[in-house]
Amino acid sequence: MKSIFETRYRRAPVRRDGTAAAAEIARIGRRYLDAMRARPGRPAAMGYFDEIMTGEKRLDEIREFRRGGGKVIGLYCNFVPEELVHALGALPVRICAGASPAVAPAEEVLARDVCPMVKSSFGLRMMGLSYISECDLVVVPTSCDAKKKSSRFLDQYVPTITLDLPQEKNYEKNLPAWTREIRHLVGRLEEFTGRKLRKDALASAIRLLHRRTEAFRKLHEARKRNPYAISGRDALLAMQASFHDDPARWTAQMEILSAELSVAKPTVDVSADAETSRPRRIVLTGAPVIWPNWKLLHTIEEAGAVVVADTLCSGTQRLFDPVEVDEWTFDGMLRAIAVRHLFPSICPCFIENAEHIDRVIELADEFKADGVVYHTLRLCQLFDMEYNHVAASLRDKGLPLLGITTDLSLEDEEQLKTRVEAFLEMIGGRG
Amino acid sequence: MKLPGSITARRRVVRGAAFGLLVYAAYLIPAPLETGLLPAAKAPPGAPSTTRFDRSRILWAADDPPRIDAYPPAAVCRFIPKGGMFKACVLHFLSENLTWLTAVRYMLPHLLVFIVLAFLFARLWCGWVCPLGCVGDALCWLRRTAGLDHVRFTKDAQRLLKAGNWLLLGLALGLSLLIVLPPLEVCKDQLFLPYCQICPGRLIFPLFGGTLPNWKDFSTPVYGVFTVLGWIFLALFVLAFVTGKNVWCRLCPIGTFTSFFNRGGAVALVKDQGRCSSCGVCADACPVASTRVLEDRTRSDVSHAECILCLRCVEMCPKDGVLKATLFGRVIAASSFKPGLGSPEGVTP
Repeated sequence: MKSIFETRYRRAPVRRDGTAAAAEIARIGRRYLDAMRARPGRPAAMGYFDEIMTGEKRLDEIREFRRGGGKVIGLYCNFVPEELVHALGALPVRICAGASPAVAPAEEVLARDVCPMVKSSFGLRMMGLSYISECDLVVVPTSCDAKKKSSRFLDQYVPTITLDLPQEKNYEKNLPAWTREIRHLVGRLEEFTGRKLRKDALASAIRLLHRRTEAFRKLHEARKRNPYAISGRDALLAMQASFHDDPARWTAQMEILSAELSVAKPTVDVSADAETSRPRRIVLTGAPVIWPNWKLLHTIEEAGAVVVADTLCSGTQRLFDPVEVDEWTFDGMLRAIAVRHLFPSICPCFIENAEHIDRVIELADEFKADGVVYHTLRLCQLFDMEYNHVAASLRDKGLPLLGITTDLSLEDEEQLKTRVEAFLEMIGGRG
Repeated sequence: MKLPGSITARRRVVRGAAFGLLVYAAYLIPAPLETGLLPAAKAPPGAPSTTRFDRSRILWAADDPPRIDAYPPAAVCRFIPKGGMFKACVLHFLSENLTWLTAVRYMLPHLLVFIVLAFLFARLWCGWVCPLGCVGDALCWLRRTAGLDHVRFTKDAQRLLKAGNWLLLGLALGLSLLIVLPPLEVCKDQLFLPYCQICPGRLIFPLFGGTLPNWKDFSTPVYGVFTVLGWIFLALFVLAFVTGKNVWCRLCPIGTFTSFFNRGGAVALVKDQGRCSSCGVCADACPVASTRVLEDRTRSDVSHAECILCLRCVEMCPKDGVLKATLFGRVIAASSFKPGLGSPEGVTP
């Protein structure tokens, strides 16, 4: 496949040894996982997701798949339709990353003041680690400057194509262009995989991921339980296993987890005097939190609160919205896919994004939340600028809000802990 | 009471049953039902009237009288074979009465019945009952079965439809009022019921009774113009339904009268603004290509004039209770996330 980038100034990829970083990443993950496992009443069904997220099992499967001639396609964000990849017999993996030890190497190639998440993914590829290093092709939506501009550099390592994302979610104005872009992507993917996108394969892929959403919605419902049935850390870990797991298997395991949650006994004291000491219920919004960067979740939940809902693109927003097909014609399916991968998004990359505020208020209401934590990933201007808008609107609604600006490093953990504890004390929980 | 089946499945049953009743009533109900409540609207002596025309004219008279002498708010056509269930559509009623200027005591009962029925069900008449829409749905089904995509009408094309709708309505009613005056008076018989003469229903419904409509009347220049316009409108009707779902309903001047009751009538389309995630599914599903339900982010009642209340958006919305249809405030349909993707609207893969 011909590169979309100019070849005249093409450079040889810079690679770095990843042995130390791999050990460090594993150590960080283990530390958070140990804390999660130490909590009483943790669902037994989480064992499967632990294994997918921390073990080599899935990576080995993917390597085996590639040895058999299978193509692995890396996707950034929620904007690239996985349905298309599945329908072409390839395997999609989400390559957004949260590994802090991979940040420093990427700064050599990209720049220092770039989104830590993009640097982390990029660094992993430089070091030959994780799922991004198993990709045969990467699709990057132009959702922000960091992703857009890094695609040019990523192309030195792995063939990379971009997906031109509209800047607004206007049905009349943006959908036709976006649908064309999705069609263009279909063409590129067909060319890359050497297969033709068939109508029945597309329909099956839509059904496959619709079932995944059905299973996810059960977890979503289970998180409404009060006292809580599953911690936010566990829920997000299970959700993020879907980044690279086989969708059918993930769906089956998610059904097992939700079934277990529906009969689980409350893990906390529900006696009359528990009101003052019950865990405060938190809605987490803002920038994506990606394993093993469990710092914020860990801090909130170890301080005695529980993240009952989130609006993260690495969490609920990834799995909540289904592709709903009005007409099962080829074009009808493609349009439904295009609609799904643009309109429900609450990414701050869109100029108007009132739905973000709607969603936080809705979740706070439905999940009986005591407060909202807004996570800004340092160097993400979009989430940073949107904070003030969201904060003012939540203040009007009387919803307590804590804004946290941090990056993937572990240096500010103590400082974070102090701020979170003060916030929980303010909203009446255990400090 | 919880009815079985999806909204689309129910709509198909209601539409099919309505079509059967409205078009084939004469075979089911042998004699006209004397309700006695509605005195027939009668033409004054000397006024143009369809009963005086023979079958060789465009506006031929039906063989039998309708089973109920009334005008419900849907395209129940006077050209339905053997008289049909009802007299005619409301546009026919208003046109003939504007020409005749019938005494209020003949006109008012029909008008009141119409207003009550329109207030109660607004454009549910269009989406669930109208037999012309039933023919259109069948054309849509043909396209889907062939695996072809529909054409999404742009906002500009939609504005054109709206302009066309008002133009047709204005011409139909304006001409009806003016044909008794000179110079139009000389051909008042030929200009009588102008919209009926070009309505696709005039050419379509006789076919269901196994008779051919008078599709080529060039006996006078006026009839010649109407004949050609009738062909054009039939072509537009078929083209619109085959290519663009139900966008014809936005042009149809009969639906305009019930559309006044879409807001402020008994039926409301209600959206939970705070919980809508603007996912766009309602807009993609809308058969009249409207984006109003998606884009209205302030009001709770999102019904609008062009909506035919087919409730497809309510059916497709993947969030529980975000879209609802209510009748006098009582929920008659509510959205829910449906596992299994068993959409009956499509050609199931």
